Amino acid sequence: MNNAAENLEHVVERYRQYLVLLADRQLNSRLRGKLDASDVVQQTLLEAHQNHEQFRGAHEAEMVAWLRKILANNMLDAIRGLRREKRDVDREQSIEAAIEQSSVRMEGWLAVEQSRPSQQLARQEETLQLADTMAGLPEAQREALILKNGHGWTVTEIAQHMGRSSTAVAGLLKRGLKQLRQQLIESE
Amino acid sequence: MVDRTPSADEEEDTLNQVLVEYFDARDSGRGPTRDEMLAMHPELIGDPDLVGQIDEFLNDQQLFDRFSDALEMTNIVAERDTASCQDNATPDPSRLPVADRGRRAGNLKPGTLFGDYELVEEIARGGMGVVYKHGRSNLIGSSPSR
Repeated sequence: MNNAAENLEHVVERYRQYLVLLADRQLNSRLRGKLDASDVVQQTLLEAHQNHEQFRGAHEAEMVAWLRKILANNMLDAIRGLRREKRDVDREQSIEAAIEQSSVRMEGWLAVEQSRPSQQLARQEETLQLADTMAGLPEAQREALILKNGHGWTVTEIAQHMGRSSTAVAGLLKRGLKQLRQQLIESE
Repeated sequence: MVDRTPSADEEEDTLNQVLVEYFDARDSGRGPTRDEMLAMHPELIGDPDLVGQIDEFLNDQQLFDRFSDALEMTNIVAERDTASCQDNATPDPSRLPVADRGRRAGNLKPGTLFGDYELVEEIARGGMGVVYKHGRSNLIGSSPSR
């Protein structure tokens, strides 16, 4: 491995959890159980690594834009893949609609990523820090926080989905927020 | 001893119940302030430990909002897509056929609300639609008053 590739890999890795959060938010929440955003991000980082010579930019902002483009492409492919799979297995209507809706949305996202000039992430350090810290939370706390804040679910919806009481979900959110605060403050 | 202090579990449950109300209020527009929460539950005022925990929670939530606000800004095509808003009558530009999206959403003014999202400014325009920066309208005014 040459130096440029090694360096790129190092820089790219910093964005992993940010990309996972981003991809997850783009995903229709009914498809979250069928498609794991972190798998698509893993594949995206692998491709970025393999095709590093295609990256011509000089700045980190350009690299992030490049990563987001690959990610948007891969998410679209993954959702189209679900559509093919679903056609054979079952034709659950709400899922079909969710897949349809999601692929339209991914096409929109991809178009944005392709037409947008690369720019610095808004408050880059805070964003990356939050994404990394969220990734370290216990699974149930992270799931509750993502559904609440990333997907806008109500506590009742989360409770039904997770098979817990509303007060238990409030407890998860409370403990998750507390842990995030402790770690975010610590690293400041 | 007739004096009965609530067990830790009972305290936790009381607090979580108050937090459920907080999250629900936030979802329907605006999270209550600390004082509003205590006004709704005057029984809590005699329990300094619980009040302290509410303060701590509001601090945590405020810090999280500050951090996640930065993420929201990068998440330009976010959409609220829960099961419950399937039959929501509010027009959502991201649900329209792609070809229609740019046309119908092409001339929106900042401040326009789409479900939970408020348009802030136009970011990009292309063959497939128009992209707006948005903020989450239900976060506005939701910070604790301290």
